[in-house]
Amino acid sequence: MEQPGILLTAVNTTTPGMIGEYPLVELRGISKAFGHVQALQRVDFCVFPGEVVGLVGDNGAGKSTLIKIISGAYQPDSGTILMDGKPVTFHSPRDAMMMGIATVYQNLALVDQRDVAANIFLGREPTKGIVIDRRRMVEESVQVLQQLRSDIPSVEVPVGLLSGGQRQAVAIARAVHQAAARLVIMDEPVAALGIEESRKVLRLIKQLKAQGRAVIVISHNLEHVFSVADRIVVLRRGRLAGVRRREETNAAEIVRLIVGAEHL
Amino acid sequence: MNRRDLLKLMAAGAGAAAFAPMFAGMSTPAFAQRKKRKVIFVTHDLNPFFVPAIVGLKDFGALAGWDTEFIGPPVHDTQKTVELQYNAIAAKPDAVGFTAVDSEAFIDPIKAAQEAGIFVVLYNTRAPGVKEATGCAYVGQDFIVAGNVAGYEICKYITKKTGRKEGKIIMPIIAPGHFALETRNLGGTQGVERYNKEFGTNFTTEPLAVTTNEAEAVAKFEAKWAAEGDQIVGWLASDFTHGFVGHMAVDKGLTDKFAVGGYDLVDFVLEGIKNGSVDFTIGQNPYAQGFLTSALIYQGLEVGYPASDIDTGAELVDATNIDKVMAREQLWKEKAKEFGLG
Amino acid sequence: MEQDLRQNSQPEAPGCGTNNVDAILDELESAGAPELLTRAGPRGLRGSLQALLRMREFSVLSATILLFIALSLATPLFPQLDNILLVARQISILAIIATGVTFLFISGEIDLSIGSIYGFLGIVLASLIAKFGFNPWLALLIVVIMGAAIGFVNGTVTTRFGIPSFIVTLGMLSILRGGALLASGGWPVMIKLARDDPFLNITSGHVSGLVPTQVFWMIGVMALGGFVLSKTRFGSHVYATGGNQEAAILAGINTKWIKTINFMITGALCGIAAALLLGQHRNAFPLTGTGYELDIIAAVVIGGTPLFGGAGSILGTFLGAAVLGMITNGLVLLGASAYFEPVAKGSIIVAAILVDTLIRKRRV
Repeated sequence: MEQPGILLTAVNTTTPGMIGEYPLVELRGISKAFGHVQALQRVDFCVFPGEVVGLVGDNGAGKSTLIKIISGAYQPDSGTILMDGKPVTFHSPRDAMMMGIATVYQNLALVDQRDVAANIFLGREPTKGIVIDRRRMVEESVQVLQQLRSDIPSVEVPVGLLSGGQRQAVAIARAVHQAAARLVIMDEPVAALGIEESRKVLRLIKQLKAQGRAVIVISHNLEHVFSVADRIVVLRRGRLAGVRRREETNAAEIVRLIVGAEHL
Repeated sequence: MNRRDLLKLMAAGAGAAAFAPMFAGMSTPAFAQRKKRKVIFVTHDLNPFFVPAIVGLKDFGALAGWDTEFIGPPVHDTQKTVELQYNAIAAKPDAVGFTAVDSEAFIDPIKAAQEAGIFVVLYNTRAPGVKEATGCAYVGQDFIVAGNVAGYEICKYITKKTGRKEGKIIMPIIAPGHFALETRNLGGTQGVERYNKEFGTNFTTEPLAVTTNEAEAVAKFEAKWAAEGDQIVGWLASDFTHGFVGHMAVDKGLTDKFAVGGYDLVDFVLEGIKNGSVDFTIGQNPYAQGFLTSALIYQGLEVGYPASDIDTGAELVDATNIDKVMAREQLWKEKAKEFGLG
Repeated sequence: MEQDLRQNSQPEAPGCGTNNVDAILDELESAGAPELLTRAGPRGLRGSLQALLRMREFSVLSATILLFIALSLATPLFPQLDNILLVARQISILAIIATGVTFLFISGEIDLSIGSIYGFLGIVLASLIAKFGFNPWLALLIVVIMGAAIGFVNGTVTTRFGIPSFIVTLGMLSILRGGALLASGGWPVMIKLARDDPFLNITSGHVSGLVPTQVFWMIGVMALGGFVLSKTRFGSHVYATGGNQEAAILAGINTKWIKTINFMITGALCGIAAALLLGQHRNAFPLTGTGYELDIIAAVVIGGTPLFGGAGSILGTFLGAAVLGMITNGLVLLGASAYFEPVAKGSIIVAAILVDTLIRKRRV
């Protein structure tokens, strides 16, 4: 399932270059401050098509700020964002969405009372004349969930009746569908889930990767990060603490990067 | 209207009340032989005031062997009253007693009842124009007459209590736009003007919208008194809220600062007269509005006479007759509990 | 936190879980895709039954049918055509306003000023016709626009200044009741139209001498409301706004505007309702609609629309209004004590919500 090309060419540096291929998204020297708090300081980051990047770090390390800059919710104070090697500017999440960047929020942003199809199309319902094209919503929802190999029994069930993992699948399906997403950003996708449900979500991430999409996963659970990420990016106190390829590191080293060498 | 007319009216009311024991003592063969009738009364505001009317209907209904029903919205509401009237018609009764607090809205249901062959008599309130449009007879107070009595009376008390020759009479009203209350205020103003002419005084009237919620009403009275206390010489409620004025007067030690009058024999109003915080109240004999309305229905249904108007009077209750009246009204308190209206 | 991270990761050392999970994932994939997604839940008789139970309207539908049967058995006066049409007319005005309130409830807002808007617009409408000589239809149009404008104020103050609609509309309730009293001087305002004026016939006449026109107004308004709510993007956004406002905003839905429009719809419908009542009574009363908001809200709640938004339907509201209308009518026909009506209504409201909650629990 994995795409050998990427694994072979991605190199273990802070700015992994690829021969003949640009990163999907690249951040160069990004800084962002909130008042006196320097949330990010000259951070470099990149993600390639078909690559899963695990973004880890302690609370307040700058993970959320970083993904909000990628998803267009925040604008950086300085630094550049490039997509496919070309500089871009996101004024809003909508800009980023137009460019194929979709974000799955930690609280999933689902309307529990509405069914799966309605949630996947939330805010973007297709119409025929003035009437919602319900058939198209159902068909496309089924299609996108099947692509994700989701185990949701029906797209006409209110999402409030689904399990945590199934809800995550709906949120991901929406992200994938609405942005025709090339990059899916997931904030703590398994934080509230049990073992079985977590596995389903990890499988979804694998599935996204298999479709050639890039994924950035924020997680506190290193086991999960190791199970899906190709590379692991560690932030500490707003700075880049290190980038490691999964095969070349271990949990102990990542923990050292997260907490800082002086603590060990 | 003079004192003699008033006594005549009172006699009519008292006469009605006197019927009940008379009938109760009879063996009533005539009544018992008649067909079992269904009679429904609808009122526009089902509050404790109507307890004597309910009892009047039940008393007569028991004598005549009727099935009776007395309904109305829990608060004054024309729309709901009209719909309850239509529901009453749908129950296919032999006769109905309606109140008509508006000139237009009640004409359709009254006509619908008449077209369905139901005998209709109005009680308590008949707005202008309803008689002309429907030909219905009315059993109840003449509000202009009652207002005149009250307006004249309040001026007498103002003169007696304060000795002042001019000043403002505040007229609290719980339901602005309610035909009966507005008409009493109109009559009240006429009574005041009549007194002004006769005695060379210069009293004026001013309405004040309040609610049946005592705390709210008293707050408004207090505000009014605080603002214009030097000009206010009397309070003439168009309803029973003069009882609330009495409470305020007792609380603030103002009982000799102004005269207090109004309508109806609600228990706290009677207690106000008893303790001197209320000067007078005007009764309208609601028992007769139930009993005599039923009597008109009976003679219409069983004998065939058309109904004619009956004025149930403007009984003046003050310190001179309060004990007797309180003894009489005690009965309704018990009945109110029985009907769940207490 | 640091402690946690170490505990989580230390025992499994390099490479740790990775191969494990990979193996599991591979195994899952080689076992084939998970059971294929079907378009909907189980079909057939059992499926239909489940779908019926899942319907929000299920409890109120059963209540309506049971009440109808019970009243019909209790008195032969009830199921007669004349009486059914009477009840249908009696719920029409309430149901029309309740349609707007259903929109509002679904989007998570409430309007307590409906009774006052209704009463105030009645006075304005009658004054325009009687005192200023307006054509009744033009006056109706003006009043509907005024209703929408009042709704706009309710909605704007609620959404732009973040004041709960409960408070805003409580204020509006008082302001407009005072407005109705001031505009009318406390007296009814009579319109002097000929008895056969088309305005009277169309607002409160009968079609072929039998079916009240108010019933057609109700059907028209509710059918349109139901269509907008269930079939259009706007309707879908109304549900999303009340279901999870944050999610709706993230999905690009302008929830403030959605709510404001719902207030405006409600206000405009109060204008139509006021015209239907004026046509019937030919007289507008400054106190009309006092306390009406509670009956209207009761119909919406009995109909299965929760106070906190996200769900509900116009069909449910219609059934809720029908239940209330049947109770009022049935109790008079049965000769029950007048004071029993509020007790019966209150019990039905609580029972409806209880049944609804129990069904929902079992389902989840």
